[in-house]
Amino acid sequence: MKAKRVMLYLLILGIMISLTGCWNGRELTKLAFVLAMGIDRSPKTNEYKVSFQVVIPGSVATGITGGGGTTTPVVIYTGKGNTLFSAIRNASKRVSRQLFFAHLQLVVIGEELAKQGIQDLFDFFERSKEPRLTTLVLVARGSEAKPIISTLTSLEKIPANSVSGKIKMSSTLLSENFGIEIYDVLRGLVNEGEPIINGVKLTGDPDKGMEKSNVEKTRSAAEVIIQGMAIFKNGKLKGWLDNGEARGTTWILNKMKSTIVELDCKKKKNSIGVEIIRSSTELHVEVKNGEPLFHIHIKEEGNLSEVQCPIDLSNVTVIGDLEKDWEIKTKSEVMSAVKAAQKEKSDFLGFGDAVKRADPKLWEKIKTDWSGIFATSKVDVKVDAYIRRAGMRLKPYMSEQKQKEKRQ
Amino acid sequence: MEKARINANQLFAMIFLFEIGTAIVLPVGFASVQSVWMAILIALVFGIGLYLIYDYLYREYPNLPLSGYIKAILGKPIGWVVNLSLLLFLIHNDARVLRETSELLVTASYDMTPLIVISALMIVAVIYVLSKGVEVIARVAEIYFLIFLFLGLLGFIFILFSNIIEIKNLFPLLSKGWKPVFQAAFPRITMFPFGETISIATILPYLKKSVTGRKTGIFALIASGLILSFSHAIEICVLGPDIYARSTFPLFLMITRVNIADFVQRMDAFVILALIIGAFFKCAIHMYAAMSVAADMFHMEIRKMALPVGITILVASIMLASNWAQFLAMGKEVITSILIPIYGMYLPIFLVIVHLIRKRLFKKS
Repeated sequence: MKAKRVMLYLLILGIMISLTGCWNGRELTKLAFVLAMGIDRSPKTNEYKVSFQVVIPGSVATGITGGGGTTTPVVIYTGKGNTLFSAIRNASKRVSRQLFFAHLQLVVIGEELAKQGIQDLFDFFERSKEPRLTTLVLVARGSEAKPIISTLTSLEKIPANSVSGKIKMSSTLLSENFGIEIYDVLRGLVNEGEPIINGVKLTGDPDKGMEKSNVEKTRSAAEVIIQGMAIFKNGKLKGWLDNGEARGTTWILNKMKSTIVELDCKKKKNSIGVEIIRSSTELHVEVKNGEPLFHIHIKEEGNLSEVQCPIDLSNVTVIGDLEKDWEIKTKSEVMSAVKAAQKEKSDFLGFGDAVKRADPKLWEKIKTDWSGIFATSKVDVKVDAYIRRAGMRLKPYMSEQKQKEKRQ
Repeated sequence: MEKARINANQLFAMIFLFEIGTAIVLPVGFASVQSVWMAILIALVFGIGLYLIYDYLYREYPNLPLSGYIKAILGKPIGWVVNLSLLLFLIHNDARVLRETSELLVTASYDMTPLIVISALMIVAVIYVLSKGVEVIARVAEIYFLIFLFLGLLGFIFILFSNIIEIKNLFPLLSKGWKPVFQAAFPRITMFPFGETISIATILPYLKKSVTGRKTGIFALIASGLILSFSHAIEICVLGPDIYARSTFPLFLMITRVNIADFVQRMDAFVILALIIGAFFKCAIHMYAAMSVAADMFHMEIRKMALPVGITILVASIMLASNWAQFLAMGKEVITSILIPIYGMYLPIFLVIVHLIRKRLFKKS
């Protein structure tokens, strides 16, 4: 009886041990982690040409020796196919491990492909369970996607981390762009408006960028920089927003985190820097005679960060004047973004959705010729700017008096 | 009937987990996408109404399970036939719960595992628990109620701090008026999940104090209805109405967007856990109902029905539909619009009417 029971327990133990684990266990050593994906269309065959930035685990692992192998930290593989998924599977001829997308950070779309249209591109990312909706999307500016993801970067060993770091930093410090994820692009495509996608540009020699020597110099031969935002019409790339237009867009979409606005000081142009520390935007729709009128209301707070001219910052009226200048400057940037959008008839500012929310019945009436209405609709911008502090000093070291004396 | 006693807290936990079960993970929105949370609240009112009917019958026959008072009210021969069809319905409905859960698990994470393996593992656990009797499942429910709340709260905190809730996605509310909201609320959401509460009627007679049944049940329904409504509203806020309406598994999709400081992310396991816990209780309670009816019909001991009923459910779940689209179409056209209304609403109402007529006749004689 006892022996029987012992046998039973042994049997249960044996079954338990052999049955644990996954049905299709994929070991870490059998996976190729794709961190960035570049999508182009090859002009001859009209197939998708998909490049994968795969991390080489041995060369990024940092050990006692300081890490870093003799190989590059990543390797690029390319596959072709009529669909993204077939391109991925076709790449297996070249990759000794299974491409694994759960850690995908970047999707870069080649400019040519973006011009042809991105409407159909994102189904794979939705349907497959590996990639996440939080993956960042970029459009390669003036090039294919492949060279962008092939360029090695210093400071961050893995180029994908470098690019996502740049997006994060520039959106929190400069706000000429903001993180745009697959989710945002999808929303842009299916909502009443259009998507907007960050641009990424390769400067320098793309061939040298692929070599390890690119990161062995203090000045890299090739660099990947975040520049501008791509605007679309019916899913096709139509143009780029830069500087003020891009920043105005960030303002309208309430993604403004921090930036530097330059103001004039008397006759000296752009000599005062204001750092935004908080900003919030509200978009209101007012319906007048069956036509929507958009009210953009921005509230921003900032500190003076640099003053290159002699003014008295302890004077309340001086601050008041600066606030007024700042309001005008903000307003003009916001309006430049609106004009850029209206020129291309591309509603990436979410105005259509705002109308739909505010007055669904009106929206039903005007939605068919929305792009025309959008291009001519009136926008009213109101800005409340508050300069709170002037940093560690009140007056600049050069007062007006002193400056005159020294010049003489 | 087995010799068992459950208390009000346990009943509360069981009804709560049963209602939340799979309804929290599936897109129940139907026509009224942005207003789905209102539709759920409206459906909740109807759901409470249905529960009051079940409770009335229970009070009139406090010692009989569902099948028992069907026989008592309709007489033995008719009652037997009604019970047989009720049994088939319960088995079919439970097979759907099992299939639904397995399909979602395969879609979301176990892509290469055959469906039947996942279904079999689930049903084995359910068979085991139910073969130990209703008291065991009640105690398990009590424990898992707390775990479920903890999971839900933690998940909500993650989503809150990821800063991905956009309230404006809920607007325009009522863009097409109240009509689609009411249409979604009745019969669709009223039937799924509230109409399925009929299975609870087989558990009510085990209650220690029969007076607590009404209050406990209504509280459990309100709690689960509010949580369902809230979580679907959050899902729409996070995903937007379009993605919410198109996805097979919106709760899962919502959790994949969690990202706190690039550190707290990939919390998918939370949702998979919630799905498995919820589905386990839904499956178990439906199955217990089926077992109870079967045992009553064939004069068997309830616990011994666990294995045969369980195996039947497993086989039925595989044979139900050949693909997900067919499965969903059946759910829409047959289950929520014909079957659940018949067994969850018309049958109990009919029973009440017959019962009242008989009562009156009896008094007169």
